[in-house]
Amino acid sequence: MARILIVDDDPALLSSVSRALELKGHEVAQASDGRRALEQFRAQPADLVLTDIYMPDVDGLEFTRALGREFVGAKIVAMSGGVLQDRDQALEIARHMGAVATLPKPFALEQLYEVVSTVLPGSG
Amino acid sequence: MPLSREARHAAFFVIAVLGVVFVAEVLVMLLLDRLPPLTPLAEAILDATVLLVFVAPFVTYVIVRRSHAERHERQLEERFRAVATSATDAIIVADSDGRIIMWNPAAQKIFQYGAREVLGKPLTVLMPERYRAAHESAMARVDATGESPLSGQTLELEGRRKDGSEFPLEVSLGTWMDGERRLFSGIVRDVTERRSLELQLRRSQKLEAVGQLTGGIAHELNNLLTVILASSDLVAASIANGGPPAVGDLEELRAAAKRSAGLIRKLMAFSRQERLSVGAIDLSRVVRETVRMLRPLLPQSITIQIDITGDDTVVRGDQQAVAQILTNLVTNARDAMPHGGPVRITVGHKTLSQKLRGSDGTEDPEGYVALTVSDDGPGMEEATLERVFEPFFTTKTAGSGTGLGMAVVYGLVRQQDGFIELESELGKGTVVTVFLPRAEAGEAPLAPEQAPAAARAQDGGTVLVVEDEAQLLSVARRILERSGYRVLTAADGREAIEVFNAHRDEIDLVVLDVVMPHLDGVSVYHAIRAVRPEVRYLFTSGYTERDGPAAGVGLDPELPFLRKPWTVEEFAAKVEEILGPSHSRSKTS
Repeated sequence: MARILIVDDDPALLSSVSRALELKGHEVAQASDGRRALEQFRAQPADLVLTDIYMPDVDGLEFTRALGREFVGAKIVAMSGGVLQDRDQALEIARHMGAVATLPKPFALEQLYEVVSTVLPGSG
Repeated sequence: MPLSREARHAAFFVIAVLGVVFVAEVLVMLLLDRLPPLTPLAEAILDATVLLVFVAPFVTYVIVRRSHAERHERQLEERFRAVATSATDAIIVADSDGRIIMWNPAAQKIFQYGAREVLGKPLTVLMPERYRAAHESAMARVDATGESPLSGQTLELEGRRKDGSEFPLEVSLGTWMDGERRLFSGIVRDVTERRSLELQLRRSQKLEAVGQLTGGIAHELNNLLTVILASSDLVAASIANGGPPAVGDLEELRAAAKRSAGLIRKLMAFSRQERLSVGAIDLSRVVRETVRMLRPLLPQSITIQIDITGDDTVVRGDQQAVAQILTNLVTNARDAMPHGGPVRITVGHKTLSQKLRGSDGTEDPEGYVALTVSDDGPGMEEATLERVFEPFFTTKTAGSGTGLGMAVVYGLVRQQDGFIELESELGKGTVVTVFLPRAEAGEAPLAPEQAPAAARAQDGGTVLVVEDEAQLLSVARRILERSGYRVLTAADGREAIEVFNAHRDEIDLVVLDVVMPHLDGVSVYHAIRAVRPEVRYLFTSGYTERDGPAAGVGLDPELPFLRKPWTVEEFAAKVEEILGPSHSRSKTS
C-alpha cells in the first residue's frame, strides 16, 4: 500500500482516479494545481505523484521540475490529454524534467494500475 | 592515544637512524682511541662529518615528505582540473571582491569569453544590466554579515554572452572560506534548449487557428473520457463482485457526459463560422438589449453603467455574436469583482491603434465603432495578459470557469473583421475594447422584427424546456417532439439564458420550472421578456402557484401554470392551449 498524491485541476478526474486507487488500498491525497501539490508534498511526502500537465498557475511541468529538485528521487508520473502530437510532446518534456513514467489521457483503470505497479513494485 | 600510520613510520625512521648513528659514533670513538692524536684540522673535519651524518637523515626526511605532499596536492589539483575541463556546465569561482579567479572551458563555451579575457574581471560582465545592482548588494551583504542566503540554491536567471546577447541559465551557488578568504562558486547550465522546448509547447497552446483550439478541446475531452472510463470500470467491477454499482460512480459518469455536451456547445459557439450572419446592426441597441438580458445573471452588488456617445453606432456584425461577446466580457468583469462594483460599458467612436492594425494594415483607423467593457477588479499582470486569449487559460478556480470565454470572444471578434484590445494593470482594473467595422453609408440596420429568423419549425413552433430534473426534461422533450414541436432544452436558469441567446429569434414558448439552481424560473422569465416580449411561457412547479418560492419572487398569477406532477395528457394539452395545435401532430398522440 502506498501513499499517492494526485494533482489535476479537474475535480471529476481527481475524484474518480482517487476512488480507483483507494479501492486498491492506497492512501490518496489530492491537489488541484502544482503550487498546492508542492505544499502538500512538503507537509507529507508521497510514494508516488500523479500529475496533470496543463493546470492553472503552476503547471505540471514546473511542478515536476520543482519537486524533483527539492526531493531528489521523488517518483512522478505525468498524465495529459490534448491532441496526439501535442500530448506526446508534453509528456516527453515531462520525462525530460524528471517524470519516471507517463500516462496519456484517456486511460483505462487497467493502465493506471499497471503504471502504479511498475513504478512502485510490491505496492499491491 | 593510538598513533597514525604515518606517525608510526616517522617514529620508526627516527629511532632507526638514531640507532645507526649511535653505533657509527661508538665505532668511530673506538677507532679514534687507537689512533694517534689528530691535528686540529682533521678534528674539525671529523666533527663536521659526525654532525652531517647525524643531521642529514632528518633533512632528507623533511624534504621527501614535503615533495610527497606536493605531489599529492598536484594530483588532486589535476584531478579537479580534469573534472572542470571535461564538465559541460560552466564552473566559475570568484573572490570576495566578486572578481573571477577560475573559468573552465564550458564557461568559455557558454559565455564566449576566453579565460584570459575574463580572469580578474567582475562577475557582473556575465549578467544583464538589470541584475547588477541586486548582485552587488547581495555581495555587500555577504561581506558585512558573513551570511549568504543564496548559497546552496539553484536559481533560474538570464546570462549575458560576450556579444551582449542574453540566454536563460540555471545556476547553483556556493560559498566557502579558503583560509582567510571568502570564495564564491557558481555552476552554470545553459537551459536555452530546454526553454525552447517548453516555449514550443506553450506556443502550441496559443490561439492562432481553430486547429490549435482542438488541442484544448481534446485535452478537456480526454479528461472527461478518463472519468467516464474509470467510472464505468468501477461500476463494472462492483457488478462483477456481486454488489450493486456505486451510485456515486454512476453520477460521475453522467456528470462527465453532461460536461462533454456543454463543452461541445461552447465549441460550436466558437467555431460557428458559417452560421455568423453579418449585416448592419445598431451596436447601441444590441448592447442595451443584451444588458437587459444579463441583469438577472448579476448580483445586486454589480452595477452596470452604459454610456453611448455619438449617433452613428451602426456596425457590420452579427447580432448574436455581439451579444455573446458582451455576455462573456460582462461575466468576466463580474467574476473579477467578487465583492461587487461598477461595470462600465461604452459604445462610441475610437481610433484603431497602429499596434492593432499591424505594420501593413490597410484598414482605415477611423472606420470602427468601439465597445468597451471596464471593471474595477484587481487587474492582470503582464504574464496573464499575454495568455488571456489562449483557449482553456483561466485564472478562475478549478470548476468555476472553462477558460474558453476570452478565446470565444477573440474568435467572434475576428470573424466579424473586428479587433480586440486589452488594457490591464495590477490594482487598476481591466478595460477590454472591441472594435467592429462601421457599416457603409446608407446601410440601414435591420429592425429587430426584420432580423432573419433561423430555421423556424415549419409546424408547431419551437419550445425551450427548462427543467433541472433530468428525467422530467427527457419526458417533456419526448411528449413535445411526438406532438410535432421542435424542442430545445436547458438544465438550469443560466443554461436557459445561454440557449435563448443562441436561438433568440426561433423560440415561441418557454416551459420553465420555477425553482432551479443558479437562476430561478422567474428571473429567466424577466430576462427573456425584456428582449422578446412576444415569447410565451408555461411555468411548472411542485409548489402550487399561490404559495412556495414562486409567490415571493413575483410570478404573475395570470401566467400559465402547470402543477407537478403532471400527466402526459395534461402537459400536451397545456402546450397546445398556448401555442395552438401543431399541424403535423401525430394521430396517435
